[in-house]
Amino acid sequence: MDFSTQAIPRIDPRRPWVLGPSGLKRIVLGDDSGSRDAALLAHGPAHKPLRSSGPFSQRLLVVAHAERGQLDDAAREAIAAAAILAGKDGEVLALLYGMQDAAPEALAELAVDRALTVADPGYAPEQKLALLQQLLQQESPHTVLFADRGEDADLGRRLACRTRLSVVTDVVEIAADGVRRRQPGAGFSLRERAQLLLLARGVAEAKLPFVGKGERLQTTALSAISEQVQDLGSAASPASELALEEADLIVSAGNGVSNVPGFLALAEALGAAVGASRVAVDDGRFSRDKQVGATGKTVQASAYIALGISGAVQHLQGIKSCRHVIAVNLDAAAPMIKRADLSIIDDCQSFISAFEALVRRERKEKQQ
Amino acid sequence: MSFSLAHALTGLFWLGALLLLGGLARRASLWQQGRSASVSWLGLLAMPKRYFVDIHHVVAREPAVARAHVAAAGGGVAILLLSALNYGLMLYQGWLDVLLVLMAALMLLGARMMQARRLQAPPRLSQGRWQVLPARLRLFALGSLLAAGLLFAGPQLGMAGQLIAVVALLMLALGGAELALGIGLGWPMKHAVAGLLHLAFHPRAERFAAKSSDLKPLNLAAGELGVAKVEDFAWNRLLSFDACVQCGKCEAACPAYAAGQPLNPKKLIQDMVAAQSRGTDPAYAGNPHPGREAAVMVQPGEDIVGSVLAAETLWSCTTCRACVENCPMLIEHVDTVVNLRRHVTLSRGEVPGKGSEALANLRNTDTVGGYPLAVRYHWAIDLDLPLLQPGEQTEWLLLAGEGAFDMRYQRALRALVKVLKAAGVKVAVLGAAERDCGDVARRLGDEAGFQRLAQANIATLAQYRFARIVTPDPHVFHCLANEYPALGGQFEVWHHSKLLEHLLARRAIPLKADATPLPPLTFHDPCYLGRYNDGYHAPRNVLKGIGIKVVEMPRSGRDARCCGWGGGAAFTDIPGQRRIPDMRMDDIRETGTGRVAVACPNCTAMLEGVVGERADVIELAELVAERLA
Amino acid sequence: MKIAVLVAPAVHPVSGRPCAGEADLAALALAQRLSSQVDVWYAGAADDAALADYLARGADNIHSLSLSPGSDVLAALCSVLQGVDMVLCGARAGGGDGSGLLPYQLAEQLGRALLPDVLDLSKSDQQWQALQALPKGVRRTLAAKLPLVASVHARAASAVGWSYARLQQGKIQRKAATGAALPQVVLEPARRARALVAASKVSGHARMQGAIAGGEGKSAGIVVKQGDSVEKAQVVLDYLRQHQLVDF
Repeated sequence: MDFSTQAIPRIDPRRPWVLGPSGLKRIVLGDDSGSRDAALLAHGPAHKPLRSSGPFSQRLLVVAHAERGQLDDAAREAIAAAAILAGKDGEVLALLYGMQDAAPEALAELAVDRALTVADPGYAPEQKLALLQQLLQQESPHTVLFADRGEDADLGRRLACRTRLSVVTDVVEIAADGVRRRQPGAGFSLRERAQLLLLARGVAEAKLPFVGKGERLQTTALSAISEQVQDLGSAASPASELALEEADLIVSAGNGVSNVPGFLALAEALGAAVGASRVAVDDGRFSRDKQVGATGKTVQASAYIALGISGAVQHLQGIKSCRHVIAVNLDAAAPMIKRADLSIIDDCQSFISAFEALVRRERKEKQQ
Repeated sequence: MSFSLAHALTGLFWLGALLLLGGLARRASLWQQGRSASVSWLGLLAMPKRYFVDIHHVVAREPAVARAHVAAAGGGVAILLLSALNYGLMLYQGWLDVLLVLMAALMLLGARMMQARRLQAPPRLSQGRWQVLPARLRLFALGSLLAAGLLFAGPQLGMAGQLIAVVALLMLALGGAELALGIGLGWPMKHAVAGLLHLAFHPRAERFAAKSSDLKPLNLAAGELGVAKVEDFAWNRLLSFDACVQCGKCEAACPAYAAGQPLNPKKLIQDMVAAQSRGTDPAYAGNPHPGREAAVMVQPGEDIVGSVLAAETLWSCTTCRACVENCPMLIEHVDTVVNLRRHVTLSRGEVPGKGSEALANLRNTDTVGGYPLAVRYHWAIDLDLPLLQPGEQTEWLLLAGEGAFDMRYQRALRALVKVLKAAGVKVAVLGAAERDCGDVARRLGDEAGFQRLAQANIATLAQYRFARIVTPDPHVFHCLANEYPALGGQFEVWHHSKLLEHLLARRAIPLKADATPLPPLTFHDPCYLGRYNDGYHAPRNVLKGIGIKVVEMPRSGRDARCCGWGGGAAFTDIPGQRRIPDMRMDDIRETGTGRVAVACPNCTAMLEGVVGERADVIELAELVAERLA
Repeated sequence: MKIAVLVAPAVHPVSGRPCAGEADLAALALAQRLSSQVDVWYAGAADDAALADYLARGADNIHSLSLSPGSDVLAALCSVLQGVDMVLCGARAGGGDGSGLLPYQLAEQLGRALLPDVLDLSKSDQQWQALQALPKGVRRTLAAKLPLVASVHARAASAVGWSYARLQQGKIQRKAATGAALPQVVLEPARRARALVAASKVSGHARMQGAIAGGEGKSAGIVVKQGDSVEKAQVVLDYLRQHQLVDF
């Protein structure tokens, strides 16, 4: 049967739908905006059970630094690993820097049973070590877990060298027969489970079906200890100077972007690094080091905003590991739209100016 | 007569001869800065053949200029010889004067033709002294004509005759100075002397016997690391630069120049001249390297790259040999470019763009793209392609090359294997034992990397028994066929176009019987098959054999434009005004066929990489496979 | 000022051949920029060929402390680094364990300040200032006095290219050394690592729903067609805020 000549238009049940005022899914003919393959209606917040009510006979400690009051996925995975490893009589203890404002429910949701929340003093390894050693003495956890990235990785290594506790870094798998770490050039190496574990990404599934008790330890003041190294302050490098490989937020221009100054102004307002498709680079609108894709650079941004990029295979290869892809394009059939998590069907020029104005306005309001 | 015109001519002749010899000695001292080179003095005997045959082959492509040059140069040489006899040796024979008058008239005609051409000089020609040279030659010819005529006509003329004699002598002196002083002062007529000596002591003398396009290996053990300074060139290489006539045929043929990349091959050779003469020659008056000012002059002892020559100029070259193929003075530009690159790469380690990454990949993985060797033949996993074991025997050994890692080109490779199987050809592969041939390493100046890969490949191939090697990659073909022999690897290597031509000629490939006419297409010659190996006919015969008409591009065959990949140019990626493959796609578009046949994995990648509307790019083997019964 | 640079061969991720580690190369280049008295040290069981890349990329002379395979290099290194003002090494070796512990162990053993993940070092007054690379492009300035240990971030990237001439001229001087035996490890081929997953006690219905709907991260593929550019811009900003991708 030839479907294209059918009299009655058929409706693809998987096509995007919108939620009507009555709460019903509606598929409007001739309109393909809305969600595709979207989540079914949530039946209100699910009530998760408590992991274990105790009493606890042993405990694990997780140490993590928060950024802007939020733990990132790596830190959440470390806590999840602790909660899964803890068992019925095991307690999940956490030392959290920069989460002093977190509500007990938030801590419980993280599956933490008891937490010591301390304001982040910045670069102060000696102070942090002192507090950690004090905590180790008080609570004597059998395992201490860190996410193996950033400040946590640094503190974990310092603790291992200071206390001479056994340590395994870059742990990719915690199994019954020991822990596995990635060995350069040799696959995995299997080791005995050490007292300190520095965890690579993906060791544990961060989504947990239970909650912790979410209690708080009495906050102890950091003891004043002199540091060998002085912190002279930190700054985010300007987006324009940021290497694409390092950038967390990238706006990228393709053939559809004709107003380059306007585009660059948006990048600056957003604090995003600038990328470009091969077409835009070949045209001379951008320098070669801005090119994203198989022949250019492979990027790992959390968010990648593709403006007027249709999305050739080579380009999509370069953004494979970007977490959130947002596409703005006039052509709703472009491959980039299929890859994107959020797609805006719009003219790039007018979108860029509208978006830039919005970002500048919101930033200003935030500052006031 | 109050003075004897004949004796004056004798004096003038010997004065000129002395000046010429002095100038030659000075120039020779510049050439002596270079390293010694093993040259055969027999080259002097071979000079006439090289002049009248080899140079003529190139010059005759522009018949009007060739005729003008024959008249001017032939006349000029004859005048010099006759003058040497008649005045130099003081024979003072009337009949020689008649001959002189005739030759002078011939030269006058030639110089006139030259001058006419200079009125509408194509932009590739240098200006400056070159622009006024025809006029000077005319003076010389006219002077000869008058003087010889006067002497023949003899004593009948009175005062007027004396006046004409003085004018004639002045003309001869002015015009003759071009030649007498030219060699010493680097004026245009330098090319006559240096050019003839260059023919005799050509650094690539084997090119006069047969096609010769291989790069010569460096003796790394002896510490040879390419050319840093003028002194590192062989003396006859320095001589070859002085042969340049600045005709700009290389400039007109160069794809990098056309793309606005900072390379003008003519200027590059003149940069070498400036380097060896320490800037004492007259200023260069031709087109510069695009986007560049005239370079600063070298100080004694200073490296060439970075002083007289910018590194970007060196890295813009695609080693396509279009310049060499078009040079009427048989100068070898590519050898010079690679010799200079060798120093920059081997000694300084400064390879721009992704070039250094490609070389690192070759060192670390034996592939240009950094792929595991084990995946090279993954595309053939379902094709039942036998893996050759040491000691086993096969008729044909297929080397897929780097294209085997490219998903697009794997289609072409599969098509080739299908065709060979259909034709009943016994073919096997090396699998993970195949390394890169070293082409990219060598052209990027990494001679050490090339020799390592070549020696490893030669040792590997020695373990297997096969009659011939076939490869679809012209770069692999060129390396193995022409460059491995110098390192001890003697193999019979065929490009797949030749094998397909051979099989079609023997009707070994079962083709579809139906005679539906196929749409015509155009063919893009790969440089390393065409200009490097004269493989112009085989691919065209293959297309003809499967019933496809080829619509030739204006730049095809020997004049084909490079795709922009060669010489590692795709890796060094020096920016210009346009991209070379885009220009080539324009050539293809002009044929109106909408399809182009290619015979090289790199041309395939470059032409398919053209963005926007473009012609379909189809590999030769794919076209044959489509016609399989 | 005397600087010691520690280098070690990395394992090439594709071919498994020894090559230079990017971070170690960056440390070497930084040291050569800071001082003319640079000693390059290696401790371990690798042969000379494995260190060739370092010669080709700028080291004139490498002191190689030869240890038997599987022994701890810490003691041997500490004994030769006592009198050195500044010790530079890559933040992580691309070979061996590649655990990134060595700079910490050295700083602890030698009792020195540690500047981790530096991109650049410069002197101001009596102190050395280090530009430290933090994730997401954040740069922090740290200051410490000599003697110190600094681990150099791979992003500092050496600008010195690979040169055959330097490789030929460079020398490796071997010296025997001893170290404590490290615990044996069992090597396994790489595979997909199994993540820890909490045992779930939810109903079959809930699990089914979860499978259909996917996680909250998978509810993607929203296409917005309606509205003007301003409204669409608001949608994008809302999305960025919802996923904490912007800080305003």
